[in-house]
Amino acid sequence: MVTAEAHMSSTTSQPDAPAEGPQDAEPAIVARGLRRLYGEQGVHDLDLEVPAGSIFALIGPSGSGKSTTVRMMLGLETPEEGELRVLGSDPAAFSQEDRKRIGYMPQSMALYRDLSLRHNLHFAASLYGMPWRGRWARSDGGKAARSRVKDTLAFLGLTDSQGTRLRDASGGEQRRLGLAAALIHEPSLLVLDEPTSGIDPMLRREIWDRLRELRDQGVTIFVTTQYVEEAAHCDMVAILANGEPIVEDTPDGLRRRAFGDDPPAESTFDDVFVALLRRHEDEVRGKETGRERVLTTGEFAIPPDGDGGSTSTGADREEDDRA
Amino acid sequence: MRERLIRTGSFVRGELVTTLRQPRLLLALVFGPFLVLFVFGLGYEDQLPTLATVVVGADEDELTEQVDDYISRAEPAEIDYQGTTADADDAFRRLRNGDIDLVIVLPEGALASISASEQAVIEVHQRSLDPVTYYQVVIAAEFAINEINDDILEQVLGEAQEQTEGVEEQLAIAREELDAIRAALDEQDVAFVQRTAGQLAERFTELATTLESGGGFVAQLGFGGELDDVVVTLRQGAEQLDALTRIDAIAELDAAAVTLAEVDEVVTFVRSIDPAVAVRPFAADMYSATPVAVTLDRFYAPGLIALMLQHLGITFAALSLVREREAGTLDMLRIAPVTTGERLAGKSLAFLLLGSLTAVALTALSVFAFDVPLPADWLGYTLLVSLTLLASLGIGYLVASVSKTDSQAVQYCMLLLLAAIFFTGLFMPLERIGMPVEIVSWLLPATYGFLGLQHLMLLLQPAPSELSLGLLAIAVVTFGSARLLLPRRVA
Repeated sequence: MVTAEAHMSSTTSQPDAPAEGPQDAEPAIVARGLRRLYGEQGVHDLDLEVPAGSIFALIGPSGSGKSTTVRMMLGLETPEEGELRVLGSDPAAFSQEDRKRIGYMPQSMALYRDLSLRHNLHFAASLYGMPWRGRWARSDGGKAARSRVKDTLAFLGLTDSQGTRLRDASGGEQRRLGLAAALIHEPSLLVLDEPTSGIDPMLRREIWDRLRELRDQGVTIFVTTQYVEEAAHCDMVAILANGEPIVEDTPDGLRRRAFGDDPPAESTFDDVFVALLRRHEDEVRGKETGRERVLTTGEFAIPPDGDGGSTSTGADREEDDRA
Repeated sequence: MRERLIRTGSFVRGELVTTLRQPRLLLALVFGPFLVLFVFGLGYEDQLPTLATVVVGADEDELTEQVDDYISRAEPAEIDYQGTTADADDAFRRLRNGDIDLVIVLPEGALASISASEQAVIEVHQRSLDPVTYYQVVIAAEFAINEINDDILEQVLGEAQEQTEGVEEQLAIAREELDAIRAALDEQDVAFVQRTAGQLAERFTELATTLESGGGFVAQLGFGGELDDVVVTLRQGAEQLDALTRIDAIAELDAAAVTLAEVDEVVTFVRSIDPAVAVRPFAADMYSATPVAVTLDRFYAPGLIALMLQHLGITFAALSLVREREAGTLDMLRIAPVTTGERLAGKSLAFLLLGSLTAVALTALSVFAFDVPLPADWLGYTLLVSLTLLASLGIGYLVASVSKTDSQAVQYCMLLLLAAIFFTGLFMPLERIGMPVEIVSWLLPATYGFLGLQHLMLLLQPAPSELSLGLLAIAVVTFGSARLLLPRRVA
């Protein structure tokens, strides 16, 4: 487990610097042939391998099965088929010790709306056995917890707003508090369900900076996102469409899969995503019409309209950012 | 173990701080019910509503006059007397139009019916939709009929006493004549004896007639058995005096003297009794065995405390769990090393503390605002309040385990509040709720709380231990069920 000092004292690393040797360690998450369907939605045939100490992104449009995958990894849902190991354990049978090694940031704000940010963080800390230090019951454990809360608030830039009630906090403060609550007990695996949705570009960049710091300290980070360009911040990316993984690779690998060894100079990750998604759709259509067609890497051109389904593209992002 | 306590404590503190940061909620919880009771007390009319009443009876009928006289004289508090009328149809039309509330129809030939040993039935017609007013009319009608009966009896007895006013004088003359006959017999003055005996026989007959006319009606109503006997004896005495010369005169004179003595005794008795006492021999004085007079405010105050404790417990418990589920907090908690038991224990401790503070505040308000006595047994009070809260929390968790949404939980809580108002004895006494519906009463913690607080604060006695056992049983069953059902609901 990563220490508090290590978490808080490191400096910002290079944006795209991969963690050293994550591939050598035992994978933090291994999924083989996972299936969990709700009618026509959910996931099926999901194979994943998340290297320890890396940032792994699961990207896909709404309803593609990202949240279902996260819920299975956390033991909130049980797979109908397949095998899943998280930190070496079956999530359906997580022990208390296993749970202490996992930090989770849900999509929605999941804490007490009438408590201040600091009180909420104390609450989250005490769920993991760190005493909620009061004015009248002082102890060494309480002092350590208080210090940990203080450091975490500072790490995420929440010191000035720590007294704000959650219901009065801005969207960015709420997301950062969610991240703080997931980090407070120093987990080795951080699962973040769309941590940057609905927040401004500056704050989004700050959050990615913090995530890279954590990655550099050895924390494995599994993140889902609709923002395709965020794939550039990750070590490994899997693209999910209609509950099925269509590709899993490094950001550079994805670029090569989309455009070959000589990608267009101005191509963005939106373009990569759209190209891969189109290729997948063609494959599916080909199978449905019986036209078996072998597609090779680099076969696709950049689509003129840049349409990538419901997933946010660069144009959408710019609009969001302006908003 | 230490970590378990810390995790449980986190919920205690979380819920406490969350609630204490909502002062308006707390004020509404504590002062709201008492404001309602206070306003209710201000507006509540202690007297029953006045009923506009018309009496229907034949013109110049003796009973009509007596009833009219009685109502005008007695002026019953709930009756707004509008007079008598012989037109029954008009009276009923006015009743249907809502101009009047009550029509009393007197029977025709009532005295004839009574003389023929038949009851004369007085009809009472009302048209209120309010069942309370209906029962008021029923009770008022029964009371009025009794009063009319008594009034008539009193009048008849008074008249009988007036008519027997000359009897005593006649008795004195008869005694003198009897003595004169006795002296004439000693002197063997047969002519005098026969003449005077004849006069005395006539006097006996007059006495019998007087008594018959004065006391006959009394006798018919069952008060004149002895008077009847005396009249018969007097007539027999008159016949014996007529035959005085033909038989043993001395013996007959002795018998006549005895007859006069009997008459004297009976007449003296009839004249001496008060007609009001004779028709209403018993009166009632009410004494309360409760240590304090139970006014409406005092009666409702413990009920209100019990009701609020149940409502607070159920609502807080149910909403805290359902909102956690809706807000996604539950997912975070399920991933954290926290058990359902720790979560329920932490929340329960927080709500017990908040509920106890509310109970103390409500009790203090009851004592200071409504002059309700302090609980007789503080230990029993603490136990009762805690168990009422605990059982209510258990029901709240059960509500959460069967509710899908926040609004669904609120609906269930409101239904339980409504049930508590109707079934805990607040609205009507528990004795008037029959089985199997009474089971509903005993499933509600407020029933036990209300009864217990009545013992502690109104009777100034310890609460029966059965109440605590009942609450404990509800708590065990509901907590156990919630513990089993909550994870299933989440799954």
